Amino acid sequence: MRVNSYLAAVMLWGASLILLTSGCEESVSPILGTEEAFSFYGYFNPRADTQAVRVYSIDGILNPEGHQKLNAIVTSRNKRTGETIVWRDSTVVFRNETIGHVFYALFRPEHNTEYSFQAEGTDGRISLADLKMPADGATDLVSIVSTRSNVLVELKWNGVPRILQTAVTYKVRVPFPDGTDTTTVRVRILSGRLQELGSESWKVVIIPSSDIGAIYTRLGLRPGISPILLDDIEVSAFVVSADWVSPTGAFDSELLVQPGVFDNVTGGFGFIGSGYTDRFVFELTDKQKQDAGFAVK
Amino acid sequence: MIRRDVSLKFWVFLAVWLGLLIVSPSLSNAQQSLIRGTVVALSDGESLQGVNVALYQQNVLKLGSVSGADGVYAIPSIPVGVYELRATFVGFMTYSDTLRIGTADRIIINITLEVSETELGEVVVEGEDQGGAARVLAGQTTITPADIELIPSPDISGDLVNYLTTLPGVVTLGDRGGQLFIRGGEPWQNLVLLDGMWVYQPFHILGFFSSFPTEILKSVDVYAGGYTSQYGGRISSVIDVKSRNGDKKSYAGSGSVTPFVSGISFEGPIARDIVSFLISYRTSVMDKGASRIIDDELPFRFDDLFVKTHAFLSKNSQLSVSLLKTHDRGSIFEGNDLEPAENVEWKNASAGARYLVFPRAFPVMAEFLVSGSRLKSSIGSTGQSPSRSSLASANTNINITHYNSFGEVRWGVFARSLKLESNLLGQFQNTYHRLEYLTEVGIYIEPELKDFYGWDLRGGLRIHSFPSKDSGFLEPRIRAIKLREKDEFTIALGSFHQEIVGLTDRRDASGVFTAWTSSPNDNNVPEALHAILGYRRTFGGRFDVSVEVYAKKLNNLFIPEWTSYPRFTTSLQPADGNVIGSDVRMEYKREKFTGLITYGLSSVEYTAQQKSLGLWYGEDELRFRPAHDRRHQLNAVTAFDFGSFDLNIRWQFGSGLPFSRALGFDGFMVVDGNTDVFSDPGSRRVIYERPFNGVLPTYHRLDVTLQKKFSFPNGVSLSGLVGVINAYDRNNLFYLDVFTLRRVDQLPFVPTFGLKMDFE
Repeated sequence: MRVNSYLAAVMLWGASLILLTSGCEESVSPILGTEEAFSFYGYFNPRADTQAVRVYSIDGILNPEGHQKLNAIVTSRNKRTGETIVWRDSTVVFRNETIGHVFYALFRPEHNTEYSFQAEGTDGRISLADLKMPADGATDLVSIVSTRSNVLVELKWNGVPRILQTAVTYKVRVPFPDGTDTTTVRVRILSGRLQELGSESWKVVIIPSSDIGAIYTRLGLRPGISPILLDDIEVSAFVVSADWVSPTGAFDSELLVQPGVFDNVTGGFGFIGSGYTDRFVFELTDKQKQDAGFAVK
Repeated sequence: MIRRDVSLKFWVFLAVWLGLLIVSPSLSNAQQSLIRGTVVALSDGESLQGVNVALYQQNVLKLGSVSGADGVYAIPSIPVGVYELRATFVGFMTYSDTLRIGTADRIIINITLEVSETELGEVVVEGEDQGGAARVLAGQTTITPADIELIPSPDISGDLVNYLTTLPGVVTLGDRGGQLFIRGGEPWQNLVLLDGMWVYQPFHILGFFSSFPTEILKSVDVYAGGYTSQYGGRISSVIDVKSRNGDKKSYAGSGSVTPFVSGISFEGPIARDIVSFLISYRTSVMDKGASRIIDDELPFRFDDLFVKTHAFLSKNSQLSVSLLKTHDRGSIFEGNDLEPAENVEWKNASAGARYLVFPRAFPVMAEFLVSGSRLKSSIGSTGQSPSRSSLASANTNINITHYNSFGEVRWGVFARSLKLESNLLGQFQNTYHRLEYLTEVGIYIEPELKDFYGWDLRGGLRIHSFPSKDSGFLEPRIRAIKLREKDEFTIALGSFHQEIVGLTDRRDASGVFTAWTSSPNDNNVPEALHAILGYRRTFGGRFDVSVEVYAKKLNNLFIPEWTSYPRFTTSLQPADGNVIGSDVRMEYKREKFTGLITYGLSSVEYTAQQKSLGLWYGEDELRFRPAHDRRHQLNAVTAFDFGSFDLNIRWQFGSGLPFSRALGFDGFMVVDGNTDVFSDPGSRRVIYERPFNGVLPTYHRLDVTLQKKFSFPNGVSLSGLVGVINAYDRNNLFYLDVFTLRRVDQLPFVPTFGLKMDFE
């Protein structure tokens, strides 16, 4: 093969490739876009006069300009009366310097009533969530079983669809080191054993004789050396609508972060619940306090 | 895999069985003779691989052998008689000697070949160690420096990695990062050896360069799968690099400068014909060169240093000592609005000694290897504590080759101590600090059976154990080759395990940092089954075509868990993988022209087993294409020798790689009853489509180089190089930041040039 043949081959090479590859520049878009418009987070509280819900717009960029007004009309509607309320936008700067839109409205939802919450964008896309307020339940102190070193209190909430969590607040007094006076402290412990009894009835069991260990730890005191006096016990239950249930049984953010896993928003993502905190306060007798490990005057 | 059952009785039984297997044929051949020796070049004393050494009677070929990487050959089982010993090699004059072979002779004949001015016809004695791009034998490709020089490179000296990327089935994610995915395997599943030393991360941060410039290379065996029992500890591939010994006759050296890298090499005799040395050093100059040419920052730096000394201690023994040090640093992930740029750095250090002897009294060759290797790597943002990982190992190997009438029997024992330390700041299974000491011991045997119904069979059994982890592995393997006049068939099957694994964030191209640890799951370490079926045919002696189909079954892998949080650190989930593919290679060679086309068709599928998959997708397992699943890959290379100059052209094409697309972004809060929307900032969230459902654009690039060599008196020569990388300025995507929608492209059109001076 002569040199000219080689050169011809090279030129053929180049020409073929240029023809082959020119004009085939490809672009790629990693963002497909979606019809979903907004994501909602929060809950309606029938025992509060102000309702608030965090609203995110679903964007094509990770960090939209937070100071801008959210281009949405956010409303809620009482499905029984038809009353519609327009919510107001507030731009919140959080501790971590991020900015979010929290919409709020001044009204108190009615127990046992259905509401809808929606955001409509300027492009006409709507995200909508339906929710039902839980009933206003009643609480009974069923029993207090007290034996030496063991005190068990059983309470019952009636007429509520679901209790999401309970907490116990112990109002205690701690004597000064010189014994001249006492300091009153409220210690809140997320405790309480919860059991659904059926027909919107829930049993809550607390064990003060177990909780006292956590109280000593919280207060940095040592049992047997520093006495703790108990005034009363407040049991709070977060009563929610029946649909406020995590699909995993727990509220693990790593699992629930996947869109669509824990959602009740149509045309968007997120979850809006309805719930309120119901409280019940009672006192123990001196014997029951001693059995639970508290000091008695 | 066997676990907790590898008892002392078993080892004793195995040792006895191996002894009988090895010794019995040796005894039966005791009356027959054996010739062994080393073949070296007269010009520089370098040992020659691939030399045909054969015995003739009345010009009829009786027995033959091919010299190995150390130039060592052996012809066993020679009946009594008078023979003509001939050694032939392309480019060298034929060596000839007449021998009178008696009974049970043990003869050592070291052969020196002289360079021929006119090329002689070659007598072919087929062996496994044959070079050439299309000459693949059951996944094994042997690469020589001459092969590498065919590939256009931004450096005037060739580099192994440029040739590796022309092989079908070898996928790179771009021209930076230095990550090679071989037939579906991941980089941490590749075993890289240099003179028997483990090198853990040898490919430089800029993808054109590795720790192996052609100046130091003698030959490279790349096993894309189905490798022999001599190799272990990795489940994907083996790259076994053998370095040159250095000139034993005279001093020689070179120095080169290009916009990418500058380097020097120097070699020569310490004791003429007996002891030699070789030194090579390269350092990147991209910040002063290439980045100014393209007017863009190339935030990568690397250096590598290789030192070797080699000695013929006697007629029948050799000793070499090698040292390799490398240092890479740079910024692969250039940062986004959420996270600053990440700086990655790694350092390799490997040192080893290798002693080779063929005792006069026994028909064996013994190799003793002692080496130590270390890798230190880190990744982190400027001004913050980086995540660190280090791996240090001490390796001892004894490899014995027995020469028998039916073929060779290789066996060996090995022991390896490892120290693994990582400080990952919570990355990967929330690991902060982890320190492990491990010891691996094992044994292997590779009996060879020649001409078994026309097939050459090399079986293999490798047994290795980590006593401290109470784990052991049994790995049967076999390679079979059927050579005919113009074509050959090959088969390879094997089982492989990997106890020491690399943890990498493999969700995108920026996953360069690898943390080494023992398998996160003691009961299920990563394992693989390989199957390869190949066919090769030669047309007219100039045109070779080979086709291989392969499958790999990968079990017990570890991949990052998916999350919708926009972040790069994560926990791991178990996964299995299936790889199937086919490689086609065509090579045409004439005196002044070489043309090479390779095509790889591959499919890699992982099955993820993250616990939340049922909740997220309604399926307990999710099948997906991982980020390195390149379906089609084509390479076309031509090399023209115009006499006065060389012209090399390479065109690469790769179909798009999978990536995870997003539908959009919103925020996320846990609504659990404690939510306060006025104080809880929530988190930004990515609304992903199904993982890896998108495909990035195709990749293609044309590189052209023109090289001319000027020779001067006194052995000095000057080579000049001009060329272009990415000749038609294709915007090849390297990295697509889903979070900021920013794309980072690979190198644009880059003119390159260089000068290299050689002297000898």
